[in-house]
Amino acid sequence: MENVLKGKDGSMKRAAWIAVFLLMTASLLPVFSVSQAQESLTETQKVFGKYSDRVVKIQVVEKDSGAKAVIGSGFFVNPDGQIITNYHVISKLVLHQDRYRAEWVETAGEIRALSVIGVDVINDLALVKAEAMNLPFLNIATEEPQQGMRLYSMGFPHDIGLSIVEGTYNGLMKHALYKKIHFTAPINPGMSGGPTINASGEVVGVNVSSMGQQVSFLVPAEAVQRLLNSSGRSKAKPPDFLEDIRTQILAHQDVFFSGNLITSGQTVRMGAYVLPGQLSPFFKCWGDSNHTEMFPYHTLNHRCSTDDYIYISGEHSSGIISFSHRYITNEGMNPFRINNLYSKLFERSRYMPGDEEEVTPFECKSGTIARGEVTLKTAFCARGYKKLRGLYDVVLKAAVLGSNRVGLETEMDISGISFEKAVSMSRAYLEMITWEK
Amino acid sequence: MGKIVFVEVLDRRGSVRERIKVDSFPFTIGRGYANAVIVDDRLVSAEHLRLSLDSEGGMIVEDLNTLNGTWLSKPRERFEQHRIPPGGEAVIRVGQTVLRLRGDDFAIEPVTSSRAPLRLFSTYMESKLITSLVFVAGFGLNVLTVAQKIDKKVIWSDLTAMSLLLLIVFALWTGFWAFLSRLVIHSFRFMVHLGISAVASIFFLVFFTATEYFEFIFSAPTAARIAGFVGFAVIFSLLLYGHFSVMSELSGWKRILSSTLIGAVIVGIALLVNYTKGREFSNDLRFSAVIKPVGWKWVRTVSSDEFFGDLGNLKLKLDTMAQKGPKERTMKE
Repeated sequence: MENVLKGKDGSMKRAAWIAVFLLMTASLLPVFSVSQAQESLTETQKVFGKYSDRVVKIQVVEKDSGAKAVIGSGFFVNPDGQIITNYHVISKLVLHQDRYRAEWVETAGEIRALSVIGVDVINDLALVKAEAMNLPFLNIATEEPQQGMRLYSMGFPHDIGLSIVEGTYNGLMKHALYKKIHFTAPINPGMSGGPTINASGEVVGVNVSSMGQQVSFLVPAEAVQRLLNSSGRSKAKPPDFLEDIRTQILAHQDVFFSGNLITSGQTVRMGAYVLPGQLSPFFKCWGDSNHTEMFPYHTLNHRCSTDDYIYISGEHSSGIISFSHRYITNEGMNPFRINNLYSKLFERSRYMPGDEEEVTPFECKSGTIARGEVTLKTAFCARGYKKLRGLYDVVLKAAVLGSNRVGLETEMDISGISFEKAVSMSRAYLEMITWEK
Repeated sequence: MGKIVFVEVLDRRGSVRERIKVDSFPFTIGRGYANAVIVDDRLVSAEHLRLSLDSEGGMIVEDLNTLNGTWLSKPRERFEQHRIPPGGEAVIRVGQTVLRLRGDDFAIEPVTSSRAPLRLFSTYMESKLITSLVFVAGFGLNVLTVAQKIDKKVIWSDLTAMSLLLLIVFALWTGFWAFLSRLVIHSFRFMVHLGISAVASIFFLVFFTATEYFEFIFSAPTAARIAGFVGFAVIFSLLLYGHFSVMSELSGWKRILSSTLIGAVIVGIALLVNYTKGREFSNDLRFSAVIKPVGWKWVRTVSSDEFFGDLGNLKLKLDTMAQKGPKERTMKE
């Protein structure tokens, strides 16, 4: 799973600046010996010198204590003082307007207020406004770069001062649920919301997340352009961002999530059972088997999960679908014992963290569903989001009844989905489970 | 031949603990060793009471001007002198000791037929053999049930540990009641209490197994839970009633009342704890996970239309909860 880049408080700002300065000075030394490196270095320096003043540090501060809660980056996109950053940088402010405020830090170190004017939760983008006019800004690229093109990413990693990182453009991610650019460079927490630009200073993408040391992801420029077009310009009534987020998620799900997603996907066979497998290219699946001498049974596991999601808040995300099957083979336990074990395994479920402020407790419905040859002990559990009304987390569990030799139990978890979709997907999921001789 | 009188020392349930035959009159009862009947009771005077015969064959009981006095048991009143008519009896209390005085002319009840209806459960429990068998059955059934829940190949170590634990529970529970009995009726009656505990453990086991099967077959976790509470209350009250009837001086209906009351209070507390816990926020999923080796033909099933078509209530419940919205924060994070 990717890590959303998030900055932490840093009090070593000055020390860090010095460190960056020293590093940069030191890196000048080899320039004279390697001529090829010289070009690229000077290029990076040029980019940094020319455009770094358009990148700003953004911080979300707890109102009462004045403590920084989140630190990220952003950049000016027009002369009106509008700044693009990640939604996840300012999500706390959107969800708890009463408790947080957002600020941006001027090059001189002065702190100025920020207000949110638009969000695109699907692409993890936000448009915020600074009360400043006619500052230099970055243009949005209109053309897709060539694979392998050198790009420059800027931001404030770990709150230690503005940095520039160079890397290569590696095209749009294949198999992603949400469009993302694969960028090979070490983007670090705190650089979230910062721009990745080409040599002529056009924004190609917005830093959003990373996976491992060198693999980073960017939100494509077209999403930025869309957000700019759709919001900010009009100065009508104050927008209800929660409602926007809700609408965006539900609209997005209408396109991607349906019973059809499940029924049209691949299947996997476990024993005589046929079950949902890799549903679509944006699912990752893996399996293993477990057989220890100590236990009089063995299990075969299969697990699939989307490796992409929409960030809502620290604890919530929407659009994660994960499911797992467990096939149990009895090796000599009597019917009472195997069924007790089966109950025990069925009772376990993946822990879904949640806060009372954000979600309701789970409510479950239990039943035994008969479908042709398969009888399924079923539980459908759901909880509602308190702020983003109309979104739910859902857990579906089922165990196949009827045999003391083998057992099969399965679980599907979906986060941040509409109730109707959850029901239709759960139903499609169960109906995919069949028995073949 | 002259009259013979029996002085019987009773325990609090009215059973005879000691019986002393006296045939020379008058005689005295007291703590001192000059008495015909010696009572080891610190509240009894050295020479406490004298018993003599009158000319009509009645017995005269006289208090010898003692510090704590001599009392009739029913009605409870202190006396200086009390006459027992011929063929009669008196139950008197000196200090903490209850004495029954009967002459050899006392009329006993007619013989009871062996075919008469079973009298008291506890009468059968008095038999050590029956008690032991009941205990072995209760203990064995419980261990057997627990053994079915172990999912390892080698179960002996787990089983031994669990059996030991079960033994300790039995010992503690029975010991507690035996100790109470010792206090109240001056007799432990450990085996009787053990038998009662064992019978109750069988009841509990059978009942809870039945509710599990019920829950599985009808997919009705709520009904099973309610049944669980009610059944627990009933069996627990019966258990208390059993223990009470062995050791208490209370009359029948008072025993029923008090055991029901205590049973109800305990279940009430359990319900309250359960309720408060249920109101606390939790991320747990509470669903029915019981699976039993019952042929699926016996299980009540629904079609997926029925199951998924009927989730409106669940949604409504969630939406109502969500409506209440986030709790107001009173404390800063």
